[in-house]
Amino acid sequence: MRANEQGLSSLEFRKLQEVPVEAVDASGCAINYQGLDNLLALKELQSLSLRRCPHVDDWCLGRLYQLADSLQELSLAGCPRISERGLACLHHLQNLRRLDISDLPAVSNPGLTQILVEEMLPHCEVLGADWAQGLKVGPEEQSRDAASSPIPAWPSAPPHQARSLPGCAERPTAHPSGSVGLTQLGGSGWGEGRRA
Amino acid sequence: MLRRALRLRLGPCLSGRGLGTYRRGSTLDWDGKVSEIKKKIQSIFPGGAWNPLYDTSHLPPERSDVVIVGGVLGLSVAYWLKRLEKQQGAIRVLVVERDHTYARASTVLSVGGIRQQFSLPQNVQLSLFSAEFLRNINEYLAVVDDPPLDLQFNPSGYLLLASEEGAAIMERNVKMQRQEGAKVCLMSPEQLQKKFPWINTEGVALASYGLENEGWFDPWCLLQGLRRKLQSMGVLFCQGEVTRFISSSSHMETASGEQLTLKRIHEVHVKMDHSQEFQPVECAIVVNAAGAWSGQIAELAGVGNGPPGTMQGTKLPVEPRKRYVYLWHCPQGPGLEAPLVADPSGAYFRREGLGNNYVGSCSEEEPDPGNLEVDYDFFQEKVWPRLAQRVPAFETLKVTDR
Repeated sequence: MRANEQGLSSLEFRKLQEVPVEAVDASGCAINYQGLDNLLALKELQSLSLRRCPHVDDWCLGRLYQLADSLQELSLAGCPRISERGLACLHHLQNLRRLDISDLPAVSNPGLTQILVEEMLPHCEVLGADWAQGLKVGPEEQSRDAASSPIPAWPSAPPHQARSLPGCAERPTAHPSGSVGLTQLGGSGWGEGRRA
Repeated sequence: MLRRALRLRLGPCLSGRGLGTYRRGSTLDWDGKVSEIKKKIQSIFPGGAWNPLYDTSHLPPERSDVVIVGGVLGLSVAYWLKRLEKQQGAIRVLVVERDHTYARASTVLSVGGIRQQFSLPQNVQLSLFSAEFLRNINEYLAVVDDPPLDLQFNPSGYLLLASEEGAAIMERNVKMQRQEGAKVCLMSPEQLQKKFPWINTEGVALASYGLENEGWFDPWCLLQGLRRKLQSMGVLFCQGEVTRFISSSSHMETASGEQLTLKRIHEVHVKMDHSQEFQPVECAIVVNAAGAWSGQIAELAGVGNGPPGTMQGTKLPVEPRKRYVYLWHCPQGPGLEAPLVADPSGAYFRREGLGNNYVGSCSEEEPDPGNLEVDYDFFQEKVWPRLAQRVPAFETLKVTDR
């Protein structure tokens, strides 16, 4: 619905002025802290995509609480300036059901951050970093797989570094990029299907 | 070459000591002769503080328009002075700091919080401006070819809790803060429990929670950023201690005919570290931003020397207060969403990093601000019981540092 040559919008556009905006896709837009004013005014906004926005940073996330009543879906994937500190303010968004925090280069520990965000937003499905990122191979699994693996095994980690999260079962699982055993998060039902 | 020529002429009697030091027993009036020669040379070679006889590069300049004593606030004053000067280079600013490593400065030892929840409207306005400054810090403090600053700001907000007695005041304050433009909300104990299930709301009548522009950041980064920018703007830095002010008084008459003595500081003596050498710096204005030690600086300037009960007789009411800050680990503690929580009893804490570590303390008076030793018993007796009462998860915690 573009404006015609005289710069006037069509009448149909004016009819839609009263229609509440439910979804905004601002991927790749150069929207900044002040520009968010326009989005935060949309009180019925249910879905917001801010993928790969270069100027959206932790301060901007601090403003999103104003959409807490309506926002159900939020995507922050690929934003270079967002860190785990900004993600802490998302806890206001209790109606959020889908959150995408994958590919955030400024987040220092993506696996741990994802776990903390999931704990913070229990009703929300968090798409994000591969939870296996940052985990090192357990020593017993590494020696077992080394014999059969065509890929050279990773350097063995000292025993105290093998991560095991409370309450989960130790099960070796096949990883697509090589036969290396990793400890798996129990009970979250994510498995292999959701790689961001 | 000129230096060598001077040495030959003035002969072997010339010692390497600075003009500012006191010399005894000189029958030749050496100081007078030297300063005459220096004036002659400076009239031939104008421009800048250049001393032909010895190296004064480690000393502050002899003349400066403004001398600022202090840490991060002093740097901030210097920054705005240079930003707002009418012509580039119009104001010469010298910042005097006793400790270049800032090991004892309040700035770097603080928990680095910023909030708008104050009881004075002016403080709220200042803090709102500061938040905007910090948000755009890389525009304000940009230096060519230097990397941008990362303040590590955590926009998690402050949560202040009030008991029954403090509830009315808190409500009044929040109303004022919101009028000034701060984004603060009030919560009842039920709302508080729902939002932060790990809090024990017993004894809490009201809570105020900062939603935006509140949180904590890295103050060391701010300090370094300011220093770097100021150096690029031409502000001179000096590591030394202010030991003396030389002022001149004159008798003035007010409009109503009253006689007053107007005192003006026109020289500051800056003593170098680990030596008795000092440099008198002529200046027009001295800014006292020495934080906890500004009371001492004010005393040097004679604030408080006068009949008690009058304005002249009132000392600057600033004294250093020691505060302990502790770092502990608690695996079942509050999660990522935890704000900086301040209990009505004075205990406070905030999250530190992602590994279930927390920093906090109790803002209560402790003795002896002379040293910076930490008392762990204070934590056991004063801080931990209050924190554990407010956040039951903190029953089992382990102090790691500080």
